[in-house]
Amino acid sequence: MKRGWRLILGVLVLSSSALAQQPMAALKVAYVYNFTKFIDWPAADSGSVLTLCLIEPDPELEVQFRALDGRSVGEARMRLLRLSPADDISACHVLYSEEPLPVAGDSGVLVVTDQSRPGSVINFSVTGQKLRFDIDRGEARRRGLKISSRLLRLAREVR
Amino acid sequence: MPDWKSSCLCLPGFYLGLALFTFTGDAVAQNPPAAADLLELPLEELMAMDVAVTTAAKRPQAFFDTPAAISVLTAGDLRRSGVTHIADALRLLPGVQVARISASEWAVSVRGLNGRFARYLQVLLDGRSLYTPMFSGVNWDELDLAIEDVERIEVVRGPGGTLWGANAVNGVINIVTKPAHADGARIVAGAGDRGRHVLSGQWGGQHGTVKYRLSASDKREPGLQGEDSGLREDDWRSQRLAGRLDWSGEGHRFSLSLAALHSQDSPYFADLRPASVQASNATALLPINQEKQGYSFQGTWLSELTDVDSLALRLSYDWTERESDAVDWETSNADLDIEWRRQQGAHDLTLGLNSRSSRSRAEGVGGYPIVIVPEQGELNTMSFFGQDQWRLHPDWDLVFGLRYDNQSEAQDHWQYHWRGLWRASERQRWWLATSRARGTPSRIATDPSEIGFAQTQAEPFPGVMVPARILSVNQENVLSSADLRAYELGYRFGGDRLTADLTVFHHRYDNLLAAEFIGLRMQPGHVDILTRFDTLDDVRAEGAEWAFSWRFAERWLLQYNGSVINYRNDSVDSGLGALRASAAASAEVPSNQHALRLLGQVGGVQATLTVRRIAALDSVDIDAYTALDATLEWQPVPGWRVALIGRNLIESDHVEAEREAFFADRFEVEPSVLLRLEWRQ
Repeated sequence: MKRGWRLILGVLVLSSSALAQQPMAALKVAYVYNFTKFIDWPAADSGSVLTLCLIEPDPELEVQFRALDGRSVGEARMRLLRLSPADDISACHVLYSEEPLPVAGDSGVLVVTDQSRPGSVINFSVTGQKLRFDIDRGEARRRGLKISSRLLRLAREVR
Repeated sequence: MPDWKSSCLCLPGFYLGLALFTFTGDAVAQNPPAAADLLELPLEELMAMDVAVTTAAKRPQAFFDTPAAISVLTAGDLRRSGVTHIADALRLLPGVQVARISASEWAVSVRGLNGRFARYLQVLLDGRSLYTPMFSGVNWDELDLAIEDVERIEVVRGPGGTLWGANAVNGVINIVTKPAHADGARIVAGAGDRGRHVLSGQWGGQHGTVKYRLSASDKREPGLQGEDSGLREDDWRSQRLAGRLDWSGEGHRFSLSLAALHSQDSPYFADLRPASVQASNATALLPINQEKQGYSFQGTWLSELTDVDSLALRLSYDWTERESDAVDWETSNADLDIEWRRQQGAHDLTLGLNSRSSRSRAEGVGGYPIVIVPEQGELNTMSFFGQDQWRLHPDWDLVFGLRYDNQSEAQDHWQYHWRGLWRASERQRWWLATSRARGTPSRIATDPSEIGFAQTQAEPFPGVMVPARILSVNQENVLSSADLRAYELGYRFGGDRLTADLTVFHHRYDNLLAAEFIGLRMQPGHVDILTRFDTLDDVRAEGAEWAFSWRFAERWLLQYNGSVINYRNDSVDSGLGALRASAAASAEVPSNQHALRLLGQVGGVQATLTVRRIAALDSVDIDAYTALDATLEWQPVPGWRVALIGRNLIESDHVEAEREAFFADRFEVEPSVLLRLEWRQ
């Protein structure tokens, strides 16, 4: 197990606040990675790179997301981008934001948020001790995203 | 080079983070895997796992569950604030008192006792303690990082000495820079009024398991204008070069960083050279033309010993030289920290030792009255500490920490803290703490010295007024360091739209450094008024700090924070003399301060407005002021960002502080604008 050094490293190099979030952050990253396997992006957008954007991520969350940088999903390789809320998101395939700000309606962007809010396609929720997610099919359709029925079945709520 | 046999170990930076972590419970107990370990698991399996937090609160859980008065500025906060120096960024936090003295000098404190030479704060840069052994305070001009390089700033108000080192009396400021791999290539360029500019560049990448970063910055900050003299300081120029390497292997992680700085400024000092004192009836001003250079090195090694034990080591060395027309000084610090940690069951135990060895040299230039004997001096500290965080019950945490400091030039001392946290409900926390913290010895308090600090007039015989200067003349070591006993109570609420954080505190200080009058010394053409260091006991401070955050609409956030503080010193009231009273008063901070911040997004423009209201400083006759800071940022094309920044916009010019020593004139903070361009790949 790598717990020890990771924790202490966080203390030294990052900061502690994020540490307690670590398991949550790690789980979210793994969920997001899994989501990408069940989504079809608009044909025009499918290329060899799958861009994953984070809006002003918490440092620990960003460290966890870096595990995805360069990893392949199907034929594409994932690339991580760090953005500020005012940035253009049209180049993103997946956008994850903890901040409950609404997200621009660009098509082809899978918007994943912590809470349900305008523009989000998938939002996380914690039920008991488990991490769950809701899917907004209407929003997915508006953004031209196709979500596999297997993912829909796993969702807590499909709107 | 440091003599390691006598060097001391200090790992203060470490502890800030550590303690924060330590205060959080759940994550530790459940032994969380990292994302990389989870990626190949199917979603169904992930969904069966427990998340290691009990609430869905979005705000960082560790802060919420920390039994201490703590707040944080993120990289986003820093960028939106538009500040170009870390000291100005600290104004955004509740209970942190920041006042600008000149273009390159700030007074920064928490819970009072402020000044250019304030010495009761532990300031850390990536774990390296930044206080100078000359006066135990921080030269903020040496901390001129590019704001873009900072990942976050954590501030603990109140004592943190047990974990964070001997100087954490009034608080801890922990500045954490971005890890080596945070950004790839980045260039920031900004220009503003009066020739103001910021320029910084970074290049980072990865080679195998090694991540690296190189960054450089250059800044020009226009000089401020004197309130009475009308004189304008020369611009402050500063350059910095930094590099970092992070390497990780199985169960180990290693990080190496190097930085070099160079800076030139010219604050006005009172001209205390005898000839100048004799020649003038008013304070003569001397632009001191300072040139500063320095470098620092740091290595950290982290190792997991077993499933429950881990070991961390940190080694650092820094050297700084300041040369000016008034004084030359040179300091070096060598630090070594070792920390062992065991997390098992309901207990999270930390044991460590740290050692700091400081060398310093100071001498007046051209007859400027600064003499410290011996010219080259050494201070060594060796400390041992331990802490246990015990989860008594799912809703209750108890923390006890103890530290022993062995010091070469002062009495050894103990520090401790007791802290308790109650999770009253999913959204509410109460915490309570009682602690004792000690200051750290400095050259000016331990070695014989003769330092002039002000020009005035004296009346040695009735009706005869002659020019005079005030000198601090010390033969004896002030053996005992500042001693604080603190009691704190805090409450937090974390809702979806509204968060609140409230703290009340009572501080009682003993052994605060002050000055007492000892006599007059007649000189040809002027008089020297002699004082010596004395200590003040039973200085009390009470206050409250608060921070509220309200997300009133989807794109809008309103934040309000503030603080009040009331200082009482019975020994001053009992008539121990005007000088003692003035020594205490010079550390005065505004009795209240407020900051209201509105963040929002309109179209593609991100807007941030901050209004700050700072109360008057009666003892030095500084008026209350209100300042408005505004930042508008947008992205014209992907990869580029443009920001328009205005600071101190409402009030025309205002004075925020006067330097408590070498005082010449008060310098006015003026409205400023900056246009900033950022390119990022």
